[in-house]
Amino acid sequence: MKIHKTIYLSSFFALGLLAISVYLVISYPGAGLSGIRCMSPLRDNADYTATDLDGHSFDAQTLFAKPTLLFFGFTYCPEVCPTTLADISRWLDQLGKDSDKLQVLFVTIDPERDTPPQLKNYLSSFDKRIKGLILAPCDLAVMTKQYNVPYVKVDLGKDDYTFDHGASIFLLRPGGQMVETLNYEEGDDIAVKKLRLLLNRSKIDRTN
Amino acid sequence: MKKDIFYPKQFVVSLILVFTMVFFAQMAHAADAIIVVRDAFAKATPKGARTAAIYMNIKNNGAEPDRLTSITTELADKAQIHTMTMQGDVMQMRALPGDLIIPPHSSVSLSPMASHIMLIGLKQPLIAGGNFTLVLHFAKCGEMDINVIVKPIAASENMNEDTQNHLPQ
Repeated sequence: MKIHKTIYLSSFFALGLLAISVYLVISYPGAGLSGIRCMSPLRDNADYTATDLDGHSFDAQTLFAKPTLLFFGFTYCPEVCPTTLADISRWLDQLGKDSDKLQVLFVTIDPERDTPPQLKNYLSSFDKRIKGLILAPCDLAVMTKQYNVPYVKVDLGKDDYTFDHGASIFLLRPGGQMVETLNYEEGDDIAVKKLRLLLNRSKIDRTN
Repeated sequence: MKKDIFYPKQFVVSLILVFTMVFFAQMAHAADAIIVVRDAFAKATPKGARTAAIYMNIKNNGAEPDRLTSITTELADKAQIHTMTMQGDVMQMRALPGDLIIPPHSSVSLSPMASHIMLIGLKQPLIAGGNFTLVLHFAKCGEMDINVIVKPIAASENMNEDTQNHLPQ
């Protein structure tokens, strides 16, 4: 009788563990995202193909020829993305001529709805130097994993959805190595200072 | 001899009457304005945007709670109340399950980085400097048309001192 009870309890415990691990696997960013299943396993060398709005394709090696400001978002985002894009536009103005040396990338996490014409139209409301990038869902999973950007689709009912998403901005050296982040609604002074630092550092890297 | 036309007693009585009437009229007006919506604004939307966020302060002067049950506007397919929270650097947005409760003698603030009314299926862009009408449906107070002004995208947060009461969790 006692043994039965032990077996009963431990199988209950095992079932619980199984449920927790299933939940963890599903909720892990990049795994269950958008209900899209990546048919190919994530590649080790973290390569991907990204396409800009003029149809030019890049991979992880060719994308970051310049020091880069990188931000992930989507055009159906009501608050964080438009505010951040407006912030970035203002920082670029404050950087003045130096902004030519900086590449600014806005990667959509919603390639399903953010088609090239939609993204192009949307970005035309902001600084022209902000470049839109679209990646296929599997490539997007690789790139977001590389920069540790969580994004999870959230149902809003009747075919509508939004995303929980990382709101940080990444500053990358030429080559794509992340050196600094900017928080959501980072003050202009700090943001511009960090951007100048990134440009100066990249200049030193080039001369060495 | 004709007496003076001025009758002090009658004058005082009529004065009291007038004041009483004004007082009751004021009371009646106050009873009308149990729910007061202030500072309703939206941020301008980029071209092609299909969503927009609206912020406001809703004050309940009554002794009973009221509920904001739904929101409609000709500008969008639908409107929902959303709460926003920052978990680390991750922005999370959720539709509020059920109605937004406005407790008695207090106010609820919908403000950036906390909560907003989200327009879904926006039919035309919101342009800074413009305004539009939003219809709020309250369980007790009924329908209320409010005017929403449109601020530039980078508009700073609306800082009200009268916004201690945020959305219930």
